[in-house]
Amino acid sequence: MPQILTMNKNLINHRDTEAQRKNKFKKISASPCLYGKFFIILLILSCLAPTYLFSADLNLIASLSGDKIMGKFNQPSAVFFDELKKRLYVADTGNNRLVSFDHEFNFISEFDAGGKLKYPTSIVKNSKEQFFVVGGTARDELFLIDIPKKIFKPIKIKNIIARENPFLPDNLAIDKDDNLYITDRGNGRILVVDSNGRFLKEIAVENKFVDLTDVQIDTEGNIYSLSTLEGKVYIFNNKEGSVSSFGKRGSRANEFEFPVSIAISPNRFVYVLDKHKGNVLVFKKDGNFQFNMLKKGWGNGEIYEPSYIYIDKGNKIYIVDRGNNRIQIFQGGK
Amino acid sequence: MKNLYKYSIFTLIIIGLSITSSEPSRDVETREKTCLDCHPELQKKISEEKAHAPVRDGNCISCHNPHASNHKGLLKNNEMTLCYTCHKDDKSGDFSQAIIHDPVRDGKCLICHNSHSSTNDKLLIKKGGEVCLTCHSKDSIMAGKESHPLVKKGQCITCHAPHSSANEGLIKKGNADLCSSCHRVKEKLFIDSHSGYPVEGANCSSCHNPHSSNSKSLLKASIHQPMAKNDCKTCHNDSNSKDPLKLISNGTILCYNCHINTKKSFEKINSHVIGNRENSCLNCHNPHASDAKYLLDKREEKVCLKCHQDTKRRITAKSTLFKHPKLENCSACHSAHGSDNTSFLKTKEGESCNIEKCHEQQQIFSHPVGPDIIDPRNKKEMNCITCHNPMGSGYKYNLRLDPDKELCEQCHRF
Repeated sequence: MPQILTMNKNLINHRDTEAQRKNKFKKISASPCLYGKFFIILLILSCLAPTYLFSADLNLIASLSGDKIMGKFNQPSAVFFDELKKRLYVADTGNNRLVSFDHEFNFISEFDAGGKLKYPTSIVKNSKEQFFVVGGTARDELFLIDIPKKIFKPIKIKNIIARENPFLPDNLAIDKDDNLYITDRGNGRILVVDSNGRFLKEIAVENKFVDLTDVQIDTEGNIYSLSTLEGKVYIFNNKEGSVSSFGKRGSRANEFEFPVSIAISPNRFVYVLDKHKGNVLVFKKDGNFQFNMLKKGWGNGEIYEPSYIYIDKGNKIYIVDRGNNRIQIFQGGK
Repeated sequence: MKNLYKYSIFTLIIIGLSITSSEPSRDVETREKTCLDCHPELQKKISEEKAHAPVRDGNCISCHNPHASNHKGLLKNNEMTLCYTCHKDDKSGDFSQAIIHDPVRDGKCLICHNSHSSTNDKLLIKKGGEVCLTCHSKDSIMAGKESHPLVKKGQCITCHAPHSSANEGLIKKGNADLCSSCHRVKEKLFIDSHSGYPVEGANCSSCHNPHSSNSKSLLKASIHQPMAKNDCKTCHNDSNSKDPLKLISNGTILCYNCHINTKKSFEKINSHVIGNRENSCLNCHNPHASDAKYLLDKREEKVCLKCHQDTKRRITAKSTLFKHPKLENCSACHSAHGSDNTSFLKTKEGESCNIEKCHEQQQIFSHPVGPDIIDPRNKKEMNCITCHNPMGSGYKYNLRLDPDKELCEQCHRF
């Protein structure tokens, strides 16, 4: 306890005898009030610690804005990281192509299906090396791309439940069983289909005015989605079948202005990308706000009107920094 | 001798003091001074007008601190909270229903009420509807040739709740219930005038302007073409059918039956289809009639800012000192359905400020811009939007950053 003694030494009168001084030191150092204060300080520090740890650990490791070989991006929409091959795929919407990068983020190649691929907005890959891409001239198709087999074809979802508006696929996610999760921006729902395009189920919330704009799946199969207009995160529990939600729109640090994309880190923190705030809000799964990450701007490490967030198993955070026409990759804390 | 002289002077002083101190008690009745002794003008008003209860009872200190205050008029608290110390929300939730009148929400009671006395009921500053017209321009409410009889009489509070309401527009009841309190909606004449459709439960203000209009029956200015031709069957079942109001198709398909080309306007990189389980066209448009362009449900900026709440907050913030003059005309720069350009812009970023040749000159003499001038921060082509924020800014010329500090230094490191 040297600090405590030092802090309180002025309480000891200079006229005190040596014995009295020792006795006072003893009392001061053993004072429950001081212990209390000490523990309160420790408690506050321990609460703040994760914030500092996480934010301090975030390092920009790559900023991909194109070069002479691959050209510049044009309004990229989404990314997917292939954990097996360690490759990054980018849906470069405005250039009507998919672009691949190696694990050091060097450009490998581009794919446009011989000019047949239009407006790719989302991409995932299953364990059978098949890509699924949302796109098409009317932005209403789901494509299967099997490069070894040279297959590029639209997938018609069989036995889909018809709703008020035509099906308009938007964002994609894939689970460990290769099931696809597709947000339907036409009807505010998530469709779950297998790799053959067979409809399995639909996920929606009771309020029919809720838009579900993005989707991610954690390792336990729980489904995370986001309503931009409501400013709310929805978590559909895989085992219990229950739905929980948190968040609201506003201007405070823990509120959303215009949330557009969601990602789950390996340690199951929920990352929400806010397009208009120009930052990422991090929550625990129970909705407990942790901290804000990144800031609005144009320089390296800053983001402007971003559109998509993705986190790989190594806790690398990929931000589609659309307003700056680039992909920025950060290493999150391990 | 000296002592006698001292005693005499002392005695005289005592006598003198006792005479001075006892003199007033002979002429003036002793009483505490009241506020009205110094504020006689208030006394006159109270006696002539309907007074606020504490004023009538002389209980000035219920609102004022007689000694000192941090608030104007020696008020005990600021206007935002003072009135609510006594006028707490009653059980009817007069102040706290879903839609709250702006002055009530902001605690600005004195916009409508006098604090001390008034010749009008409820201490209102003016008579009846005249109070409402203080803020709500008579010219816009009674813009048409014909006005609703209650509007003409200034009886706003027959339909509207002045403090708060569960209904949009602060109306006292749901739209159909409100109108049917006076209009006999089940009578044949009424049904016949609606092409035989039973509209008694419908939202009347979907087609009629409840205040005034240039059209007969207070119909709104622009009528959806099929409705103007009384061809309701374009969208609804026949009036003689079992379910006459039912739509012939679901969702956006109904609209695309006729508006085929409009569908194409959504098929862009940035598409404004807003996913929910209603006909998403109706998020912005009114299918029957409207006083706004393109049959928009409300005025354009109101339609856009209904969802873009954060944009509304930003552009109305006190710190947003400099605003683009067309800020409330969103479609001047943005394409509402969809666009292949960033931020739903009608043209590419670099050309956006020169739509309709708005900023033709600036493009000639400004900082170099164009495809060959690259922003070193993000490797994007520089254009007007690189430095200016057309959505509003705290800096002159709508600059994104302080021109005397970091704006230039972002790229030009000194």
